[in-house]
Amino acid sequence: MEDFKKIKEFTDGVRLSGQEKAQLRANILRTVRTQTEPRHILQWSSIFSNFNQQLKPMTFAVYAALFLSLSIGGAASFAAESALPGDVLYSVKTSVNEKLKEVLAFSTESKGEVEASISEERLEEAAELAAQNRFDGEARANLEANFERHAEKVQIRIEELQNKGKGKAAADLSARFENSIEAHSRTLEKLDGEQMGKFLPKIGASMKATAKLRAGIEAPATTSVQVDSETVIESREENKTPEDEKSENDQEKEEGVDNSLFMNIKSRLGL
Amino acid sequence: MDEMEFIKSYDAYADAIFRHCYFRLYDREEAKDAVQETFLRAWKYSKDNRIDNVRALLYKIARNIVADKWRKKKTLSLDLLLEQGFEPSDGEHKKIMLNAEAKNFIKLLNNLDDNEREIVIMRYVDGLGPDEIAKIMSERAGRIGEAFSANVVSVRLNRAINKIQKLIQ
Repeated sequence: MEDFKKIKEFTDGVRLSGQEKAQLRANILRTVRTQTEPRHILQWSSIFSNFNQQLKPMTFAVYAALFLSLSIGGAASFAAESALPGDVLYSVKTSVNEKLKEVLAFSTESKGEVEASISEERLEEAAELAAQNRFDGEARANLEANFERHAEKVQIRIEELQNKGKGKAAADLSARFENSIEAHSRTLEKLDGEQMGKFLPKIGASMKATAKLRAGIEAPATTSVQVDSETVIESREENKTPEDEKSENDQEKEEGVDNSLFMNIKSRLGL
Repeated sequence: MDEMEFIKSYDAYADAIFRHCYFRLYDREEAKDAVQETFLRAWKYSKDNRIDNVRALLYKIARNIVADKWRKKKTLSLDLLLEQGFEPSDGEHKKIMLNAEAKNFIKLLNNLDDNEREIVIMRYVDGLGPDEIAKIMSERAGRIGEAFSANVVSVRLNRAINKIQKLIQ
């Protein structure tokens, strides 16, 4: 056991089989390819072909929202996807497009996912504004407030998942959220500016709450599981109990969403 | 990073990432899940950030994922693993029994704490040099300004090895 370097001779034999490697590659690419790029033109064929697959709830909501926004608001709300604070179409982006995405997400996991992605979007907008020298005090204040709001919603969903006994999903959501905000923050750090210097600490403070939540999830558990039984493919809708439905609808009412309009849309889509 | 480059980096590094995760989680399925998650997060990261060193990024992400999984993994299937031997790569052939040295290595590794084990694995299983390890460990999510130099890595590595050698005696 003296020569540690010999270890590699044995351990190098541990690898993925050809089949396993291909399987994972296929899984990864499938997920990579079904993600939308909000700032690019969508391919019509990919929107419609995805309606036939079992999708992750999040991508379905995104596609449905964009499809709907095209039929309702037409070019305006589609173009709004890349709007920045200060642009004419920005309010369409936040009040129509993002609201649609929130409403159309079914499961708690996907709702959490939507909120996380909206929060990220705020940071992307900050970066874009800074690049265009448009990141002023007003923009900063608005983005901060909006980010905090949506980050809080992510935290609410994480807690909900925990309370439902879906510890893995809760941990996944909080880890995914933290990692992506961390990545975005690092990009923003590289941008100079007085406003950026005030903005980033606020974002960091917001994220502390999420980190605390994550620590809470990972506190010593009494049950021991080897492979978590919650590793179900998340493209299936969760089986909601009547209580779940009720509480989620109540939540929507609290958030001031105009249910009537969206209920019509939901039923027309057969949802 | 476009899709072509992404696929290339998968083909190049998937096995290495798998191996790293396997020796830390002792579970094939968990390790595969970690590989998948690592590459997905790397893809997302690449959408907003330029990547200078793909391998370092992949290891950084994998470490975070393993840390998350480790915290949730309360039962160690280590004893079971050592009894039954490693699964060979495709599960079709007879299980390969670990030779005594390898068994010892794994048992010894188990006596280290997760941080020590991580460095030993990166050095002797992954074959990374102290410089590379320092780069990989230097940006830990949530901890700002933690500086990792190759020296720090070497010091920690030596400490871990000493610990192991004391256990052998």
